Amino acid sequence: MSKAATSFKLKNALTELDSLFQHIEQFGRSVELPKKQIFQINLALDELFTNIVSYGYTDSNSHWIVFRLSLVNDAVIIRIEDNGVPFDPVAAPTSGSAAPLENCKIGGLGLHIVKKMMDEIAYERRGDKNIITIKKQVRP
Amino acid sequence: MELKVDVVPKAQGVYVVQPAGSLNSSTFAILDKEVDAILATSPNLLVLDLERLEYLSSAGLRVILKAREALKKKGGRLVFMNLQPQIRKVFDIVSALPSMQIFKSLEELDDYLDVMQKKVKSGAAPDA
Repeated sequence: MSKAATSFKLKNALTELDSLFQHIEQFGRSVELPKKQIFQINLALDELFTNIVSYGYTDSNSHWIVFRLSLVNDAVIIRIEDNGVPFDPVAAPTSGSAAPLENCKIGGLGLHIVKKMMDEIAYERRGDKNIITIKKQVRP
Repeated sequence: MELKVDVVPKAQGVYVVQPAGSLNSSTFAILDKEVDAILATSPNLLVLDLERLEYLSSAGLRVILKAREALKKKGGRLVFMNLQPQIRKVFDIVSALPSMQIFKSLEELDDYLDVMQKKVKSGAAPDA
């Protein structure tokens, strides 16, 4: 059994995406993930982070969004914590392939990508925090 | 990672747009602006050459889908060139590709343009 973990926090600004990618790449390389899986994790976390930054806050203050990535056995477990407005990405409608893409709701396209790229996604509202937990099987 | 967008006029009404780097929620506006400028000229064909595009998220996809719709309304077309595997995968996930045409190389595109020009010269309507 192998286990590795990393934690970091980002401000609620889209300019933090570069930093998000750097953290994910660093983690991915340290646990020897293939490039393709690093790309998929990047994309899923980008979509969720972008949603939180774009729609999560009603004030103009700076907020922290906290990430924790770990490799447990053969899966990457990711936890994202923010103190924005309650938003459940699991229950939110996504744009399936049947619906015309142009009609899909804001954020729906991104969430559709997240659900396709990851194996499991769970949501919990705890106090004033949104907690999203994602699982991605990386070594079948 | 940054996004750099080159625009190469290829023929009358034909533009090749080459985004290089990362197309995401913090960079999509750069491509959006370039595409809008081209759309204002009512082009016949916009070629998205994605050879140097390393990353694409839904924010970037939305710019591309929006451009496709805008072109369609004016009787123009959007086609793709040089889709890298990881980029193609993003398109596949949202099932965005079937109705879009993809060229494997500049050669293929040139052939296509030749055929289109001949059709225009012979008075036949170009394929919509």
